[in-house]
Amino acid sequence: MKLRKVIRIRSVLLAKTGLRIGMSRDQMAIGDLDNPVIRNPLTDEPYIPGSSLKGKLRYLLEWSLGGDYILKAKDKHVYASPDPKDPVARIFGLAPENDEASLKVARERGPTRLLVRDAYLTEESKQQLERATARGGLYTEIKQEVFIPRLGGKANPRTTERVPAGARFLVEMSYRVLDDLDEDYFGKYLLRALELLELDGLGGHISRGYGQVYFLHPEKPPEAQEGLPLRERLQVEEVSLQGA
Amino acid sequence: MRATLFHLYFQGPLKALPRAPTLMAHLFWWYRYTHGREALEALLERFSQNPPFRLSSVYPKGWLPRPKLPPVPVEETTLRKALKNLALVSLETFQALAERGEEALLQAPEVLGRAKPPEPRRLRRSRVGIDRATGAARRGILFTQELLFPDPRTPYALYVLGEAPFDLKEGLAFVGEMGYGGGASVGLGRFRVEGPLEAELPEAKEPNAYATLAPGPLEGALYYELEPYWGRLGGAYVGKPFKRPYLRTREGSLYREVRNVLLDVTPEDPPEAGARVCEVLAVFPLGVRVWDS
Repeated sequence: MKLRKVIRIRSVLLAKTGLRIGMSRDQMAIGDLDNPVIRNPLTDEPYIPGSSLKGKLRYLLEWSLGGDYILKAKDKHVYASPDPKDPVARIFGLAPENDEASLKVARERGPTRLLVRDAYLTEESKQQLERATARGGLYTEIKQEVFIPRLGGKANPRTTERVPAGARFLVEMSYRVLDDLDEDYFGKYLLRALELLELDGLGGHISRGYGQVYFLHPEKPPEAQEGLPLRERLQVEEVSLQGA
Repeated sequence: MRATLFHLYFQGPLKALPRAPTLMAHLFWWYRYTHGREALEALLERFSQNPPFRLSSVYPKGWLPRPKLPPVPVEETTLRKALKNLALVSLETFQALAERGEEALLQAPEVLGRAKPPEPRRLRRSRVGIDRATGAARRGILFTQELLFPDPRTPYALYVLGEAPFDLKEGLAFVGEMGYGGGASVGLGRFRVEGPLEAELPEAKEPNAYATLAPGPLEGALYYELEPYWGRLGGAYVGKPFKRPYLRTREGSLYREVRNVLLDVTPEDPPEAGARVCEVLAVFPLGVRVWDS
């Protein structure tokens, strides 16, 4: 098994609607938000964790392939295919069970091919969002929502923090190519998962309009890219093994 | 001592700052990917005799691990606790410690609260498993990881002794691109490299022992702190099994002589037939003077 090449994908992820990736809170003070977004503790800026992006891509690809990926994911949270050529396990990785058969499959399959980085706000977007500070949140908007009891009574308000529509994050992924099959899977499955992400969404409350995203080529003018096929809106290049 | 210095700038969170044996293992995988298995085996053979180069663990620039010298008794509680909790010392304090022993710490700015190394912020990040049937978070698979967020503008120092048989910066840049340590596939462990630069590391003038900037072998250690190590296989050997566990000394431990060992940590059930799993434990020596009998 030898690493032939690494393909790097760079793109700007545009939040077309408000984006919400939540964080847990250890404690809550009086007056705090119910649902804060995840932030970088150094800068307080919201960001998209690589795990959120990668997890959603995996989930969408599994659903598009259907079958065992959905039906047999009941006991474990993902389907562990016994096939070393399984595209989902190859691209996204799979922790093997500690039995000889699973380990054999894992060794034959090799390492996780896709690495997804945390995505941080672009400089331009950061400057734009600084203006949002005056409207309640730091780089974010505070959205009030109301739950209406079906049998009358008072409306129940809740506050949700989200990154406002128009925010842009720099997305970077690396894809390891170890054999011909990986080369094939790149176009067939990984790009498909990215396309599905644009059709579905990222983060929470997608069914209520949150989290619509669109990829943009980082070095082309954004206004000229609307409607272009996804492949043309990604910057795809090979990373040299002799110096990244 | 004159050493080669690389500055690492972390581009996001990571599980732990790089330590010499793990960083060396990352470089070995890169060397295998780019030069082939035979070349790596030949290089490992050299490490079993006389290592062509030694790596330190990674520290904030201007800071080194406190050498594990014989302690001085201190009665005053605040000072005793400050001494007990001190893990890193500045280059100047290290020089004083190397020459005069722990006495030098009693007036050191780090102990008196006047100097502090930059510390990565910590954040607990929750991760959930998604229920494939509903698309919502699945009950029972919420877990939390504590991650380090070093400031991307703060340089972290990696010291090198000797000459690597390849362009070390290229190897490090590749490791930084792909991510160091656990969670690389979800974006952890990325760094940017600057260097090589030259560095003058503090040492005692007439040393009779050596403090190590990298974890070392148990054999030959004089004053030391032990740690059990139980790592996972890296590179193309995914998942289980683990490496065979072993004991090693922590950074700052003292040796009478400069030691190195190529440990065989191949598990009982090797990842593939004929595969050998090795761990490099090479002391990165800085001379100190030990004032005991």
